[in-house]
Amino acid sequence: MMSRFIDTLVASLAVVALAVCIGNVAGAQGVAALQQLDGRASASLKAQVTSVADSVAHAGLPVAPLVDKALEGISKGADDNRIMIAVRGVANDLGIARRALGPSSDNELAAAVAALRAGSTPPGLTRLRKELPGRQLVVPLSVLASLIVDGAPAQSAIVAVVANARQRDDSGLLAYGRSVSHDIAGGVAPLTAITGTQAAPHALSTFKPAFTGGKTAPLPAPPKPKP
Amino acid sequence: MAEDMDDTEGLDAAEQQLVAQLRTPIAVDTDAFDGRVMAAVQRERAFGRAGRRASHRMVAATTVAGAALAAVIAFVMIGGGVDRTAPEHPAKVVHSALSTVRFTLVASGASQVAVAGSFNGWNATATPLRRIDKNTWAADIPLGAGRYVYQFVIDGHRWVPDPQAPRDPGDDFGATNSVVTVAGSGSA
Repeated sequence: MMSRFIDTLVASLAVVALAVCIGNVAGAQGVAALQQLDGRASASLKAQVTSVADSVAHAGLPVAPLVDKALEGISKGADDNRIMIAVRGVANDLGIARRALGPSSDNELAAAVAALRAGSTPPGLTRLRKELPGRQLVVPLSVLASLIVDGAPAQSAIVAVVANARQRDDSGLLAYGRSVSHDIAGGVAPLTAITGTQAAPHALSTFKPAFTGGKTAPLPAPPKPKP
Repeated sequence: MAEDMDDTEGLDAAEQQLVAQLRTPIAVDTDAFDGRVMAAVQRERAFGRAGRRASHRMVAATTVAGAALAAVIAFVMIGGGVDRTAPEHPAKVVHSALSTVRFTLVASGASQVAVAGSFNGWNATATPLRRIDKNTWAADIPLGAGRYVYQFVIDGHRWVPDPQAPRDPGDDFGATNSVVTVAGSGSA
C-alpha cells in the first residue's frame, strides 16, 4: 500500500512539474506574443508559427523574435511558406546564439542572431561573452553586426568591439560604431576604419546621430599618429 | 466404544464420569454457525471497502497537495512572472527608461510616411511620421534599451530603408531593414 502510494505521488509530481514548466514558459512568454498574430495571420500560418514557438519555448528561448519575423513577413506581403522559412531560420539561429553565449537575456539573443546573420561565428559570440564578463551584450552585438555588414572582417570586428567596449559605455560604443560606418561610407577601408587609424576628427564632428535621446555619447578617441 | 470403555479401565468412578462428559458430543447449530461466519466475513468486507476508500482518498489528497507544492517549486525555479535571466545571468540587469528616438526621412512627393518595425509589430499604419518641411518627415518614438529593426512605408505600400541608419543583415523578405540600437546603462 505504501509503495503504491509513493509511486503515485512521485509520478504525479513529475507530471505536474513538467506541465507547469511547459505551461509557464509557453504560456507566460509565448501566448502574449502569439496573440499579436490574431487578425493578421491566417489560421494556417498561426498554427505553424505556434508549433515552432512551442519548440522554441520548451528550449527556453524567446518566442517574440519568431512572432516579430512573422509579422514582418505579413506586413510585407510575403506568402506563408516564405514566412515560415524565415521563422524557422530565426528559431534555428536563436538556438545557435544561446549555445554560443550561454545564459542570456532575450534582447541579447535577438542581437546575437543579427550578429550571426551578419557573418559572425558562434565561437566569436562566445569570445565576446568571455571577453566582456558582466556586461549586457545587446549593444556590443549590435555594433558587431553593423561593422560586419559594413564590410569589416568578422574576427577583426570582434577584436575592435571588445577593445572599445572595455573603454566605453553603451552610448560610447554606439558612437564608435556610427563613426566607423561613417568612415566606411566615406571610402575608408573597413579594416582600417575599425582600427581607427583613419578616423579623422572632422568626420566625427560632422556625423549626425541617427537618433536623439539617451546619454550623450563620448566621441571615440582620436587616432594615434603612426610612428 | 468398547475400546473407549477399555480406556477407562482402572479409573475411579469420578474419573470415568469426567471422561464420559468430555466425550459427550456437543450439539452444534450449523445454521447459526454459518450465520456467524458470514456475518464476520461481511463485516470484514465492509471494513475493507471503507478502509480502501479512505486510503484512496488519502492518496488523492496527498497527491494533490504534493502536486501543488511541486507546481509552486517549479514555478519559482523557472522564474515564473519574473525576468528569467536575472538570477542566472552575470550581466547587469538593465531597467533603463525610455529614450526618445527621432526617425526622419526625406521623401519628395510622398503624401504620407509611416515607420513599421519590431517596436510596433510591423504595423504599417500605426506610427505615421509628420511632415516637418516640404520633403522631410519625422516622428519621435519612445523606445526602451534594445536593438530594433524597421523600415519606412511611403504612401502605404512602398517600403524603404532608412538611409541614415545601419543596415540589418537579415533580408528574409527581400528588403534590407534598418537598425536602431538604444543604449541602456551598459558599463564601460
